[in-house]
Amino acid sequence: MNQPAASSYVHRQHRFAYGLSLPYVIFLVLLIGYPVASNLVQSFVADGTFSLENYQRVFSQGEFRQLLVNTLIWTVGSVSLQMILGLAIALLLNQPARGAGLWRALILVLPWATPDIVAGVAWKWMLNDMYGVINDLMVRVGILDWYLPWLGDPLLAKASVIVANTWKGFALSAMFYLAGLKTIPVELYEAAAVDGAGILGRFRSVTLPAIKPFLGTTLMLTIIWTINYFPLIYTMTGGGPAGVTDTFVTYAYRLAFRFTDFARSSALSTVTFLLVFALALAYSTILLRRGEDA
Amino acid sequence: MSGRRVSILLVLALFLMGSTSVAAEPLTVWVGGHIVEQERTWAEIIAGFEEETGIDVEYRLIGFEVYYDNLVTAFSAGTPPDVTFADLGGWVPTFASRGWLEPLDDRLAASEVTDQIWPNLWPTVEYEGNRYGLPWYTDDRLLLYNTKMFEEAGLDPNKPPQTWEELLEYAKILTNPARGTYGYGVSGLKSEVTTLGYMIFLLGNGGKLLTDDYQHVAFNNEAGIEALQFYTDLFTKYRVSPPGTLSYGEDDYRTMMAQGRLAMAIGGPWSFPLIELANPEIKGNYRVAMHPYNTEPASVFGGWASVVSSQSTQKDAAWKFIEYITSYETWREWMRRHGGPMPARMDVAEDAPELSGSNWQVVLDVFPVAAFRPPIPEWPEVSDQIQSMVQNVLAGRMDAATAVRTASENIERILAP
Amino acid sequence: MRRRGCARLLLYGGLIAVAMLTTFPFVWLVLTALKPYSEIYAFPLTYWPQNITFEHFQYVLDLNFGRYFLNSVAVGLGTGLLTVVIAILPAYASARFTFPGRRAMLLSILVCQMFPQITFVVPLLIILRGLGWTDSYPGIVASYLPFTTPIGVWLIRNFFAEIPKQLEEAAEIDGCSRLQALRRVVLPLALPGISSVGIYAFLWSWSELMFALSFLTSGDMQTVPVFLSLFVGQYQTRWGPLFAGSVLASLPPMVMFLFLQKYFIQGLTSGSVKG
Repeated sequence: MNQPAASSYVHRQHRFAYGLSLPYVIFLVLLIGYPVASNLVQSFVADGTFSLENYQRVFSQGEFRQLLVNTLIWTVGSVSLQMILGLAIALLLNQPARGAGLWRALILVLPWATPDIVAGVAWKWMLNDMYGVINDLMVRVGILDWYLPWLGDPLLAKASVIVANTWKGFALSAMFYLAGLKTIPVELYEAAAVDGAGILGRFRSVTLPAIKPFLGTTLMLTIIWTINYFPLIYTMTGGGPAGVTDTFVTYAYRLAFRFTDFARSSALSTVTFLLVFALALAYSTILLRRGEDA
Repeated sequence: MSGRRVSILLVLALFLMGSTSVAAEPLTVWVGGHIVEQERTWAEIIAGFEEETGIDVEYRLIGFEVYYDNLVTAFSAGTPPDVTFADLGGWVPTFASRGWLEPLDDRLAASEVTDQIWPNLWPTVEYEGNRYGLPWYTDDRLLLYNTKMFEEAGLDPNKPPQTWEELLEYAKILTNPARGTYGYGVSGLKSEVTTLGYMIFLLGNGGKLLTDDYQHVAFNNEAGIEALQFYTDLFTKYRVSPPGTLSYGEDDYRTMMAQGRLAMAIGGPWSFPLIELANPEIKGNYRVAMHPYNTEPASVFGGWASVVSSQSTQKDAAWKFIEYITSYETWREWMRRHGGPMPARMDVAEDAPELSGSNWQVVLDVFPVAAFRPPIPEWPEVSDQIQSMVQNVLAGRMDAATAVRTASENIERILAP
Repeated sequence: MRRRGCARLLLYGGLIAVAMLTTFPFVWLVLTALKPYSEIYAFPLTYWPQNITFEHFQYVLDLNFGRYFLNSVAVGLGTGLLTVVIAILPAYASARFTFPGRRAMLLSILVCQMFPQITFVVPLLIILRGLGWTDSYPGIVASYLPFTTPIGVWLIRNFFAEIPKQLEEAAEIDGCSRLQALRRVVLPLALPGISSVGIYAFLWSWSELMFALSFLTSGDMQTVPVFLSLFVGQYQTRWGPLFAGSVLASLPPMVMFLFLQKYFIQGLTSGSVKG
């Protein structure tokens, strides 16, 4: 094969790939570009002129450090629980069982399909220490001696919103793992079993490689999604008690829609974005590089 | 053949319907607040208005939890309704300062309704010398208590506590953690009700939140610290408020009161139907009284006002609508159907037989001493600081003096021009 | 034989345990929705409704719940289908070709997910107003797509990457064009993944409140979450109708999921082609 022919083949391929991708990219840029740009502009304007004041106010705020710490705890807690639970449940649901479809629908769809606002008030209600079902049940069963103020204690409240969010969100990772597991031919397991691999061995040699690509993507998407997710916290605790469940986004939401301070909210949103972006860039670098090596 | 003709007719009819609805732009009205049960009443009142005036109204109900945010979004994007409702707790000045509302002074001056509104409501709808809203209904905050629990504890339900000392004394008697019953519910949730709770204690201690010109903090003193100390001590020191205090507000406490597990909390006229809904057997076993105070009787009122969007293209129709729903006849009809809430009109409050019960008498008696929240655009942020202040002390993160100082510094910064 | 029985016990025991844990909040919603108010607030708690009532369901239906329900179905299906259709081509391009700017494209797609959704509400409302798309299906679906398609592209891309290139090459040798090969060979094999992305997008729109509340202003167009937000009120949340509505609202996602199960299972059989 001579040189020009090869390069024109490559060119043709590139053009084909661009043709497939560009319309979508243009669509996104159009719908996203304006909001993002107006957000940026807003964050750099104070009293009608260009200024860094909004950013200064965000950073100099006494709460900034607490918000950062809260955001990280909320994200790390929710994401790791969701990823682990999601994987465990996907593996369970992947076993051939009678009524598999129904099991999957029950376990995956119900929490996910519950609208945020309903999930928030329902959890708040169930966690009520005086008449909530969780305390009542735990005392009856004997796990607790007496009622715990789930949302009234800083530490418990933090844990409670993370658990509620895990309940609401684990299905996302579980579903994509499950779809990934479905691409594994049964024969592979059988072959591994014939080779004498145990459950763990089969998991390592067959399951893990198959879901690896989804592990990375799902992890990254869950992180992005969790940092930016706020309705559950907003309804359950409003950021309290004593600010322990306030995150960047719940605070940015309050700034914009409660205090009508859109400029400062935009600045905080940009900061949030930069945090997420840094994380995603790190991940995608690792992810794509590994993908290219393979 | 005929099927085709029918479908052509259908398309034509749809087209005509589409074009007429575009031609006559309806008056848009957003109703927020505790409204679900009143859906039918609204529908009928609005139908009555349409019939009388020939003005086409498109109304929408919005849940309270999302109402404020929804209004802010619509106003910001330039798609507000013609008429909407604003909470008397600072919404009107907040919206007016952003240029979202239409001043109503001239229309109010020419209207018969104006003289009938309780005079102390007006400051809540004013901003920089103009009036932007017509108050629609109001209420005041009182001590709501469970008379049966009083009796069981050997207390006289006809003699509710009047001072802070009595409040504490009663609350201690009524508290029995082993049985899961508590004496007084301290609102400690991250929400406006916590601000209101602190305000009642602050005002009852002779203090106030801001200076009269609303330029500076006024609770950064002995009265303010003492009020916060006593309010939070009820939970942290005396434990007469339930363990989950930091997550509860008036509504949670009303439910507990219906269950016979909480004896006293802040409540008001809105509590009457709701506590009976939660437990029909409590009827006759709850009562309201002036909230206990230290040096001065105190209450805070709330309520709603109708406002007109400054971007509205149908301001005359909007005003007509507001006058209609605030008219004597509409209000009497409203009272007849729902037995409440408390109308912003004095004449209706006087005439309505529905307001003659002893509980309602307390509501009306206390109303003259009821204060309002500072009507300033920065109110939501100020209130947020007060909530944090109360929570910090309840959670044991700060002592009362430090919390008051921190909140004062932050609020001064917020109020700085 | 005994080991198999043991494994079965473990499997069903696990399924039941997990289902009990994850569905408990929902079960509690159902039980609450069937109780009269006096019982909802009763203390001590009653677990099983003493007097089963359908008043809350009736109430919700009287408030024209059906209309909101249909709107949600329309918006959900629109979002689900369009997400999949839009995501397939760029996903395929990035899975099969290493072209300059591929990484930049994948990143730029992801960037759309990184801004907090709250920053989009007002600007998107202004765009929709400009297009005359407020209070319409196209408007709300268009506002959802930027949030559902990026995840679609990323995941479908992974599913495509799992499928051996040789299968397409074989199809091309048989005379198929690239796009024909995509449709006839690659898509069927990636069905479990594609259907899961569709379900994801459907559910995303199904529970979304903030955009729906802001962009859909008339009762004729609003979706179920907007309807349910009516019951989270000042002074008190109306648990009965809120939960009754929520229970009814969970039916279509369940049905749709059960329906799409078929494609999950197809994925299982097609997987053996690969081996």
